[in-house]
Amino acid sequence: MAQYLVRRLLLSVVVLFLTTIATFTLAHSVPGDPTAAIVSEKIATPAVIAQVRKKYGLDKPVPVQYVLYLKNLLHGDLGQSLTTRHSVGRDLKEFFPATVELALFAMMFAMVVGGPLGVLAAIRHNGAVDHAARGVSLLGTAVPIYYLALLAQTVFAYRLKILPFGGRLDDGIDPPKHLTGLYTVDALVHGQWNLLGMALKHVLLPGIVLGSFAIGIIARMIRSSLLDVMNNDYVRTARAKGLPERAVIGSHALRNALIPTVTVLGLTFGGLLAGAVFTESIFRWPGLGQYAVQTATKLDFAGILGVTLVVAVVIISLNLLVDILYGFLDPRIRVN
Amino acid sequence: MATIRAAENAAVISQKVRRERSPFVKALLSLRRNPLAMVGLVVLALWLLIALTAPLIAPVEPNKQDISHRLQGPNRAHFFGTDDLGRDIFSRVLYGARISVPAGILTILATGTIGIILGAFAGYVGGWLDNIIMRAADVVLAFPSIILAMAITAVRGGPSVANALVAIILVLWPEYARVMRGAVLALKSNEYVTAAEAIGATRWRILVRHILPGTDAPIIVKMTLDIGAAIILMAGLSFIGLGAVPPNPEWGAMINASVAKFYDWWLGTFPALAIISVVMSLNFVGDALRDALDPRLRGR
Repeated sequence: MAQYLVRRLLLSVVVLFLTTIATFTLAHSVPGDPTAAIVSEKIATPAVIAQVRKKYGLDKPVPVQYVLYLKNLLHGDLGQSLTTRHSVGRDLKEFFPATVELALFAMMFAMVVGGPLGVLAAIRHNGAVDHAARGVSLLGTAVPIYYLALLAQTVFAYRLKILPFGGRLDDGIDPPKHLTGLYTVDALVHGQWNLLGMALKHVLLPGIVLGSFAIGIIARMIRSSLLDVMNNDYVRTARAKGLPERAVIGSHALRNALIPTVTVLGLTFGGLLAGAVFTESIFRWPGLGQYAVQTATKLDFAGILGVTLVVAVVIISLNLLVDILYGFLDPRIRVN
Repeated sequence: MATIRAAENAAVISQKVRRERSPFVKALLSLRRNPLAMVGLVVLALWLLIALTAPLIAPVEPNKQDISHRLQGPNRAHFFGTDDLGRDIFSRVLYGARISVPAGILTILATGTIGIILGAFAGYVGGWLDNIIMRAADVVLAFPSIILAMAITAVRGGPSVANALVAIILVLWPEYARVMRGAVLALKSNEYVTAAEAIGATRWRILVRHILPGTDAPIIVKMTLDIGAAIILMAGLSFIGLGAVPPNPEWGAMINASVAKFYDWWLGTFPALAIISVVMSLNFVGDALRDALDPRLRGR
């Protein structure tokens, strides 16, 4: 196990390192002067630009520039955003919790709906639920999430008026005392029940929209791994000794079937961050996705490259976590 | 007598061999028995036809403005209604096919080719080349495709269809490289490859003549499904404002025009239905092809 952990950790470090080369290359392919990738000419005085050139060694050879780039990254310095006029690091720290809250909610929704759907589809293999699950997962890849978000907004906020159009709280309301930056959690911890209700009401619609595309993926994964497991000898034994089908599936088959699902959940999270780009901009959710759209469309290079790097770091770490978890759950993995 | 019978047998056998179709052709033919796949093929053929003939069949020029008839709901003169500049949405949706359909097909052909070549070399040559290619693939896969595509479009100087296409091509190749590498590795250890090596075939010949033909099934399935993904990605970039620029009648950009116009539901619904019908059809066909080509996956 130790060897597996070390190897997996090293691989992540290599990929992380290569990721910084990728963003460094992107930063160097911005039109005009490479300083534009750190601080936009539109807000920087000549003195600031000279300072940036010196700090990033832009008159030195490219390998030296890369080393300086890495050094600045490690100090959390991602440049200056044209959009907010703050340092990109500060922006990302501010917007990150909102995205985490939204993505966690979306993931919970997708699991609560997709999990049982997958189990039912496997039990009634080729039955009505099975076909419905397959239809949902095909539709999930075909409906653009930005259209689904607009549709949900029209129906629930505009027509039925039961949910807010967007934002994390009603306009003009102060957020709960800061602890995690997740408003629902912070409100819960501090017992601010009004705010908790309001935060939940606001996260409901964007969370469901964002989570809906993952329902099909999760249902399909649970279904196919459950079907694989059901053919095993130990499941036949459990049936043969007269266990009711509920117990066969619940306490024998499902446990093993959930192992591959762990991997899918990790991969799905990357998809959620991608979907957040659209969901957040439509629901005015002040997270990384909305920041990515604002910075990319304004050609605020420091901003968009900062988000890109941070999101990649999050995904690489999650993949590492999933692989480690997988190693614990399935001993066969550690050997290969 | 015995010789004649032997000759007859040989003839029968050779006939059988000749009649045996390639697995891929068989898979294509088996689509005829799958109603969903047939629906998908018909819809796709329709969209191709629309893309080719839009100028002939569109009732109005797609960018023709008519302020006196702005924001009309669907009616007899404008099947899909009109937008805030009085442009005919039906015509714009038809013209939109001329951007999205070729964009989807071309990006997947390009990114697929790049991925196939890199993956084949990685799998067949192995060693440091394999390592370099696959680590590069890992890096690209570490970014959510839309966010990396946004960054690439931005650093390439901002919104344009060309920049969006380049971004999508740069973002999607690693999955092809992975699939291809896996397929090549699986085939490489087969006895017929060892036999070809033994009779002195060059490595290039072995790769092209003996290994690549065995990898078509997973790649073709993936390409079919991914054309839809590319169309959605392209429309997504345009929706954000990083793809097709106004007044181009691009589906994603048209959906963007419906943001916060809750009453005028037809603005976004028809372009969205266009995207959904194309991608859903590709899903039907791709799914049926997968089932037909790989019986183990049937019904999964």
